[in-house]
Amino acid sequence: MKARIAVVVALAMLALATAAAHAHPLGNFSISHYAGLEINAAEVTVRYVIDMAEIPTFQELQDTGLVADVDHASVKPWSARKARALAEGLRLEIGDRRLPLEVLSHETIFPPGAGGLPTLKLGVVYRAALPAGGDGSLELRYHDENFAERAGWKEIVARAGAGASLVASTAPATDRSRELSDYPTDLINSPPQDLEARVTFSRAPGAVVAATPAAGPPALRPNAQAAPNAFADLVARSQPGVGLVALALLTATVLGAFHALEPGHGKTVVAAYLVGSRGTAWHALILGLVVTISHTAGVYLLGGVTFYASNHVVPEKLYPWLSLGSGLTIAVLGVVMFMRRFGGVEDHHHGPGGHHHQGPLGHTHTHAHDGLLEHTHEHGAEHSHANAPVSLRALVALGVSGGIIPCPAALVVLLTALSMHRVGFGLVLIVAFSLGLAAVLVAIGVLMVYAGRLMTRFREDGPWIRRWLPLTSSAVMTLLGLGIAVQAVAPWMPR
Amino acid sequence: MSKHARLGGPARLILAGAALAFLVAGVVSAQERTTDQILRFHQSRVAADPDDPLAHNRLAAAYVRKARESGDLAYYALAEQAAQRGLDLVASGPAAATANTLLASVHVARHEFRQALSRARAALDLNPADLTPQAVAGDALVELGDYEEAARAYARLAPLTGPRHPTSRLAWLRFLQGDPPGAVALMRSAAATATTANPVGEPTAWTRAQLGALLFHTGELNGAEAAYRDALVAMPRYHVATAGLARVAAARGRLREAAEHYRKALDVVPLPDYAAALGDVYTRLGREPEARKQYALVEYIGRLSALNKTVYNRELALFLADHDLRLPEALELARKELEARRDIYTYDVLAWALYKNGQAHEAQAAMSEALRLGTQDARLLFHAGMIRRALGEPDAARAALARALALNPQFHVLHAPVAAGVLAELKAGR
Repeated sequence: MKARIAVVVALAMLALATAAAHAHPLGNFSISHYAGLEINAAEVTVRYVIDMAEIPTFQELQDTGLVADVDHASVKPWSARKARALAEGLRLEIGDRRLPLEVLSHETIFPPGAGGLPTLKLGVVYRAALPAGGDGSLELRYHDENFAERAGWKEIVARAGAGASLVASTAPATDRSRELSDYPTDLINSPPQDLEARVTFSRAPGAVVAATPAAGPPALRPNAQAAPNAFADLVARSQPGVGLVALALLTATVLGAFHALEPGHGKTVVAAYLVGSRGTAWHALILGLVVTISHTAGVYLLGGVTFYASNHVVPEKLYPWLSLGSGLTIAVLGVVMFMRRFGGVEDHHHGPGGHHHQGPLGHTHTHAHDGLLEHTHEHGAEHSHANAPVSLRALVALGVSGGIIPCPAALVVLLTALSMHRVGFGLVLIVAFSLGLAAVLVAIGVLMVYAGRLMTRFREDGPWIRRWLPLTSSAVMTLLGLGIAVQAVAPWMPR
Repeated sequence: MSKHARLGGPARLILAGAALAFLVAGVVSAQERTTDQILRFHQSRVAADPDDPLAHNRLAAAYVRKARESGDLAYYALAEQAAQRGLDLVASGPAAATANTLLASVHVARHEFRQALSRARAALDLNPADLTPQAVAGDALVELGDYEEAARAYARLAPLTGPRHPTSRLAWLRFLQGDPPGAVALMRSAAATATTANPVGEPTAWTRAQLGALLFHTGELNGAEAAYRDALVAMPRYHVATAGLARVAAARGRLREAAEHYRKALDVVPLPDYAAALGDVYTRLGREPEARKQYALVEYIGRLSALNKTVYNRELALFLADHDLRLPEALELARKELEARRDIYTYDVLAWALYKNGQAHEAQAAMSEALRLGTQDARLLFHAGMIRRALGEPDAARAALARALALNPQFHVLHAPVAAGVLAELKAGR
């Protein structure tokens, strides 16, 4: 027993010590409101909590002669009076009818605030009888007119109780402040400012109309935290976890690798060139990296322009539209790619792969790309340049010309990051994406150099690579783009 | 078909999409949003990208705006955290300059004027192209009593046009320099500019309320009332304007109406000067118990927290001196304030506290500092007159008191009658 008392005393001292250091979390003149509506078959209960910070508490004590001590004789009568007075400011209506509120219970506590000065918390449970009958759904309107102009946390929640169910509600079912005892006040959480709610509910036919809820007063608790100073937490919390980042990077790398296998990229240049010129593994490495770097640079350039724009235009106005634009662009790209791949296998034959060779070395493969590897192998020796030494300059020029134009897939990665408002992270993702691309390109090059024979069996233009992979990716792109676009316009959608 | 042509299609699509987004963004930017909406947006930006210094700066700016609108000093702490985080992320360049400017304005709000000045100067070093920090530097210099340097800082802002031109700041400087009509004219122009930029919102309401305050100083009660009502049109329930209306009503002798307005202002933001003024109105009404409650509230707010003790220190010193409460403490608080700032109003409060403590000679020395710019403020001249009388200089006393009452015969609900009484006494004693 003694030990228990010691613990209680120690806890109280701790509470006082923390209270001494901080003011009320919502500023020392705030008055916060909380209303928990519970709708039953026959009645509505309102758990109503008022949390007054130091200054309004002082004013209340001054005005009413209330003494800030829960055991003082002034507290109970004051609570009862205040509970009735506050009921005047609470409008609970169905149709034109205002439902009278009856006080079921009330409780007052005085948690210490700044410098141990008292703050005040009053909890009241009100009950209002619902009109009998009325099948179908009814709309209940709640309006809190108490202390409307004073700063504070203003929260309403609505739940269905016994014999009733909610059809629609403008108020959430769960609260954010644990009945005004735990305010998540930090840089990125603004206090809710809800003083009105509309709840549509229906009652189960033949529901028991006698259920009286256990009408204990709201369990009043002192504030869990004191001053709004959770910034460090916020940064730690809102940073995506290391696992998530790793997953995103891995995904981007894999996407890049897949992308390298898709037709229409610089890897064909690499392959053809290496095979044609009998290059070395070193050449394959250089060329793969050059393509990757130039490819990244192209995307970065576009990303940089967007990044710059987003920092010089008022972003709260720009971002939703940028997201919408990005989403629609991605979706349209997806559709275009899908259509092309779905119906345009032929097109692909004359597609990007076939003409990558154009350029620095001045030679042109005029043949279609079907069966490139066998083809080049068969005819490789006929090319006049076949035995010419491979210059670094030529390699770089070739890689740049093949990689500089940003490809749709990489843009999708960037635009997705953009729509998540994480441009910096997007740029890192592009690096991962390009690394994946490079790894596969270099691997293909090396394999071709050292195991050309083996590679001839790898039908790069087989139906899986040429058709289903692009079809799937373009379908995913379309859905992703539509998702982003819908999310962007969601805030303006009627709720 | 070349690769370039083929990839040109999607590239063009993307460019077209981006162009469309920018176009629509431009149209949408014409719409205004409330401070809470702006705040929520920037909160989401910071949550989405905790490493973006610009997002932190904008969040800090939104918090400064919220603090100004609500009068709740707690928001300055959040503004400081956000700006400091922005500065931690980028220590150089324009973004760091902006963060420093924001920190400087937070320091001004907290009455840490020297830190404000050094932050503003750091911002100017980091990004000489941006003149905004000059405004904050000027504000800090005004509070520090370095009016010439403040005028130079404001003068560097002269090339700016529109709401960024320091017209309202120059208006107050003009007032301090003893030219109330010039100040009113400048503030009228500032109010017109603010209205053109945005007819509603705190900036316009603030400028109109400042015009009301200047007009009150010149005794133009009708003009002051109109300006305060205009401010309430720009921002309903704006406590500064509501308190201004209370002051006008009190000056007209409509004490019940004044009490009503002060109560309304206190319901929104309980500032100690409002409570003190309401207490004075109750005193004039003979409602002593209610007056005492308001006076107790003044002290309670003034001592509530360390921040309140700094920000409301001078108010509390003046309050104690005005009401003959714990006068040695009033003097102590006034001397403490002089360490934070050496502007004419701090010298005035020091002079008044010295006078109340029976140190008329020291009071006179402080008062001459307070009047060094020739400011035409009835309160200052009332204090000067009372000190002169205590020194046995009836002519100087008479001149100062007459001047105070000529500026505004009802400059204060309690002090104006005192000034009139003493003046009559002095005239009779001649």
